[in-house]
Amino acid sequence: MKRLVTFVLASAVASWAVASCAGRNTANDTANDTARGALSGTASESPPAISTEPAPSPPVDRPSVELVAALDALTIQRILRHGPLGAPAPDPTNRVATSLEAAHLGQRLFYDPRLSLDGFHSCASCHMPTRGFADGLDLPVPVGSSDRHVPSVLNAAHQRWFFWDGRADSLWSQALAVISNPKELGVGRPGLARLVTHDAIYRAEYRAAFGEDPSDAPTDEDRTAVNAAKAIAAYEAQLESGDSAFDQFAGALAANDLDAAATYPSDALRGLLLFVGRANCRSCHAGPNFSDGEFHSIGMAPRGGGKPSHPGRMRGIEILRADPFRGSGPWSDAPTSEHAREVDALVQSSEQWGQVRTPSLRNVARTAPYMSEGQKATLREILEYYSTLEGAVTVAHHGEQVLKPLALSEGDMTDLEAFLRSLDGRDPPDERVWAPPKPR
Amino acid sequence: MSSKNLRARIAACALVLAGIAYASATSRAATQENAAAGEHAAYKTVRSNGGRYVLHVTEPEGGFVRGKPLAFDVRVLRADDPTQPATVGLLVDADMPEHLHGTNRVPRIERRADGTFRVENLYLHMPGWWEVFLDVVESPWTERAQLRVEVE
Amino acid sequence: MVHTLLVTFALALGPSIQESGGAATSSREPSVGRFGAFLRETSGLAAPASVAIDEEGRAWITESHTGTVRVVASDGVEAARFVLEVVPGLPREPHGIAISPAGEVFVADAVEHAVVVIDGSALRKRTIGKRGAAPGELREPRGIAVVGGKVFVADSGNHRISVFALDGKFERALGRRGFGPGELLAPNDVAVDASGRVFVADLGNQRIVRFEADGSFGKSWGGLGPFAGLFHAPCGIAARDGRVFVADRDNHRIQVFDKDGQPDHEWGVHAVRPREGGGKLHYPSDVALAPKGDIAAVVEGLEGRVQFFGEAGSTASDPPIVDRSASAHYEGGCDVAGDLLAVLEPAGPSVSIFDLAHPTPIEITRFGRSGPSAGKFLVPADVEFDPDGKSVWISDPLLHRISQYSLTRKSDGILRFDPFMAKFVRALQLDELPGVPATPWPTEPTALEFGPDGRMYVADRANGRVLVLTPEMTFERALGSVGTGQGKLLEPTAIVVEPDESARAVDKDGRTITAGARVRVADARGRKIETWSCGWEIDECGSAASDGNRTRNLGSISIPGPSGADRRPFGMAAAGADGLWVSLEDANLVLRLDGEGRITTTLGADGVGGLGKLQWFHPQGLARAPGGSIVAIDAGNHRFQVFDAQGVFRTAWGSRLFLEPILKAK
Repeated sequence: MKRLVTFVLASAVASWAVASCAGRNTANDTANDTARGALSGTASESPPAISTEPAPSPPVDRPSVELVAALDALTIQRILRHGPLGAPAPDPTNRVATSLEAAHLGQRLFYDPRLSLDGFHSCASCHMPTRGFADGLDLPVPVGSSDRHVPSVLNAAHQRWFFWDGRADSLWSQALAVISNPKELGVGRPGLARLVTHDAIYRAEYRAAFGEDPSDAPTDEDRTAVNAAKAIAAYEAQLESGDSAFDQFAGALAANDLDAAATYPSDALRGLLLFVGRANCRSCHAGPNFSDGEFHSIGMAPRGGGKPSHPGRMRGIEILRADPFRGSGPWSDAPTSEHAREVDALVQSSEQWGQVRTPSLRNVARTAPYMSEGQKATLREILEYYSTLEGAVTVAHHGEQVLKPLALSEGDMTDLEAFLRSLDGRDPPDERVWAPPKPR
Repeated sequence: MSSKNLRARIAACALVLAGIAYASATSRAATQENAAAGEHAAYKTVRSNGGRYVLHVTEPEGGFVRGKPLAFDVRVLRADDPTQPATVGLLVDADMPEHLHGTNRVPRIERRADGTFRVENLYLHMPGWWEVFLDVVESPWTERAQLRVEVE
Repeated sequence: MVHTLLVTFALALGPSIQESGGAATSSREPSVGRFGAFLRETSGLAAPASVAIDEEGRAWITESHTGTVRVVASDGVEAARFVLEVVPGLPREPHGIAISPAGEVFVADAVEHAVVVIDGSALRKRTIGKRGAAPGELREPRGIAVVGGKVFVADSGNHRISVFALDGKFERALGRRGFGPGELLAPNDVAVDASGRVFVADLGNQRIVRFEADGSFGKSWGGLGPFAGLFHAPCGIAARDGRVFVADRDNHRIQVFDKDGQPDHEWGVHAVRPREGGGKLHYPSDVALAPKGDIAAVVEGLEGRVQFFGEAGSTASDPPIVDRSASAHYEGGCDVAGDLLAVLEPAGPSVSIFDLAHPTPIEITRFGRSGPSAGKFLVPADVEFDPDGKSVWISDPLLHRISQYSLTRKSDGILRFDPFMAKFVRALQLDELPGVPATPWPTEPTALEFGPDGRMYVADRANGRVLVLTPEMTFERALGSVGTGQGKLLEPTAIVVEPDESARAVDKDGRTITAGARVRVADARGRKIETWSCGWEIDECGSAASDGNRTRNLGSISIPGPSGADRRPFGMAAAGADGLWVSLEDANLVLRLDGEGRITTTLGADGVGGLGKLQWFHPQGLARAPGGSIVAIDAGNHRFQVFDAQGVFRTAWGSRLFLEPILKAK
């Protein structure tokens, strides 16, 4: 018997080791990720190191101090508007948004495959720490399938609207929607309430976070599920990516420390000057989070060609207004707050058809492929698109007309890419990644 | 110093002072202090496009910045009788002429007892050239005044 | 004398014409898959408005310009044709058509604002409704559906669906004017499915509205745009076997949805070459399904054509998105001031200003955004330069207002396209203007014209009148009222104002003490040009004071047509020496009339329409340039033509494919 057990364990470990060495993201990987998740409760196991996508590494060319000193005041002002990111504004609709106890509970839930109908997929199946909290796929392969590319959770608490079409207005309602969607995780609010109620560890952590016991009775299951989702949101709010090379440059610029500023690579600096200058990327990728938090259509053709078919923001607002879990709804902790009632003041028009949320560019180099259906595999492909607008689906007399072909040179695109890579931040601290150890 | 030299210096100073006095007296800068009792906000003066009204528009705190709900005050006066606020309605909107789009939030307008308007939740989400539209409604006419704003 | 109904048959119509559109037949065929395979077409129609297909596969088509119903068999051969008249010489303007199970044919008529019920032999049996705003009355009835013993009428001018029993007894109305849930704006067509759900082509709101069988509001979907589920002028609708078909006119396609508005498929590649058909669509304005559900008929009003489609194979795909940047679909009115020409693209909606001081006119600005708020348009009808030439006025009938836009051209002399030339100045809600007489409907301003003295004349198509505003833009007087006969108007489309010397008087010191204007109004539906003299006194300060007693109607002129009915004048411009240039949209002619209304010059090929020099296809607005040249909108040919005071061709510009025949002829 002992030999059998040893044999089984050894096989399991061996196959895990082989599969994780394969590197490609296959269904096996997904299963192994969940296997890792299932095993992650063991106290003796330390979380594996996070590997980031390797950046290209040409010899680094630094600008001269004089070049930095010669930047004009308006350019500097525009650069400084992009940082620092700072802490996210706490979500008033979530009373436990900054609670450490809730974040602890949320962290455990985030990696728990029991949130899925098949028991193999957790939030982390699509929001993988090793892939910038996205999945590296054009379209995800979770429980069922989806037709939207997975965005990163890093810095998500800085967003105002969630999902590509903004149909959720808080991190917790976004999590709840995914948990309730049979094409995604799918156990639903009853399943989530049941999990949290009948697992002793969860029950204790829930009590610590909310001051009451969870319950999956039909009258209580929604409240319990909503609280659990708020705990997940509290965890996600901790997934901040920290200082990037750009932030260090901007900080040095703000402090007028030209020597420190001049350690920023030349190509990234040239790319940055394009970004805030002629290429005008800051039109939409504005502010410290490199996103205006709003919605645009850049005419991107759908995956597989043909005509665009996603109504985008136009439909997203409709869904949001009907969502009982929106910020102004009964489950919010601040339904009458200015923040929550923004949904009532939203303009809704057919000009928003097809518009999707401007993603943040922080950590963009780590979250290939790109666009709402993963249509662009590399940063370079995106820059080529903006340069020529070839293949853009544009229609006169409808919607905004923000883009013009930029006619970027090879050098321009290389520089812009270097700048975008300089937006990679530091990872969240190790203890915030992977499920926390189970208490003894 | 020779007297000729001194006279030249005095003349130069006088010229400079006169220039300064002239510039400030005839300043076309639209910002002025409101002398009415109890109000200290600086405002821009905007004439409506048909010339019928003069609007005093205060700046939001921090200016017209991107990505923040903006609040400001508007007083509407008749061009031919600017002594008191006109009894009119006001509609507020904003637009980016180069981009062919407007705002994503609906501003709120409240009419105060003294006839001035408080505008809130004007949200300019992109940098660039915005036109803020202030439409004065006095049946049967609606007349537009507009303010050009460059948002960074 | 002529019977109320003028009937010309080829053969007697058979019995048992089953209803079309609805699905209450006893033998229900399974629903078909994707449509789009072109079967055949019937062309040479005169502004066809609507179609219904009977049990024998015959298509019953209404021709709105000739008052005719044409019946075309499934092999394309004409089976019958009959003209409906209100009174002898005044043809009806038929729009919607539907056929009941008992074989009665229901036709919506925009002249009498009623539904005329005729039997298979085209004899009138009864009339449902009459002009008015009260429940049970109609204004501008358009599409009809006859289902389940009820008659559903898209009561466009009253912004509602009026429901009657078959015998004409009014039952109820659905919807009311507005933009919100359950409200309608100029609904153009209606369809009812087997469960009694009512689907409305809510044209003015660019959407489809569904009412449930109990009359409550169900849902709506749409919005302005080119993508799936969005519309650009949804004009026609049909419902069949759980699917809803929409003629999406300015997107040049038919869209098919389920009952909840989920897109199913669409068909219709945009026709590009002039008069191109063969399955390609150009402004489809109605769609109807055969009782078996296997054939769809699509009406293209502008092309004078009905095309028939059957099931497409499984490899058929949705057509590409229409690129409307090159549409050049100028329509409605236009105006010239100095070197500038102002025109409308109502479907944009947009306004364009051209600089005429070049061999080919150059567009120097274009503006216009869609929406009901101040500064935007829904569907602009006419554009007119202010007397100072520095601004334009634009009428927007569905919003009951006229708006003024200033034009500021950079003074550096460089010819350029400047998208920021126009600035919205102000808008006037006409019904709020003190003194404007109250009418059953809010004013729907269409044609605009300034007189030489600065008075503004505004045609009101809802109430058959012309409002006269003083140069200070106060209300002075109204000309006309709705109806036929002297001094009455049905559909004012253009106005020409000139000084009326007969109203001028001077005192012994030579000071002008009275003056006046001669106002001529083209009434398309009334098929005439009505003339008034408006006089006013001038006081010592030189100000004009109006005097209602100085308004005189001077009678009307009409232009006889070949088949007994008078012509429909659309656009007009002064021709000097009391003459008039008049565009006849239904006849594809531009005529010059002298002071007595006699034709002195004819431009175009009567009725046929053509692409050559001074040939037309739906000629619309005319504008007089300094020197007497006329700019004419050749709407159906996506181009302008300019001719001089003698009617000699000068130049043309517009869509390249439509210009080629003229350029080659040179």
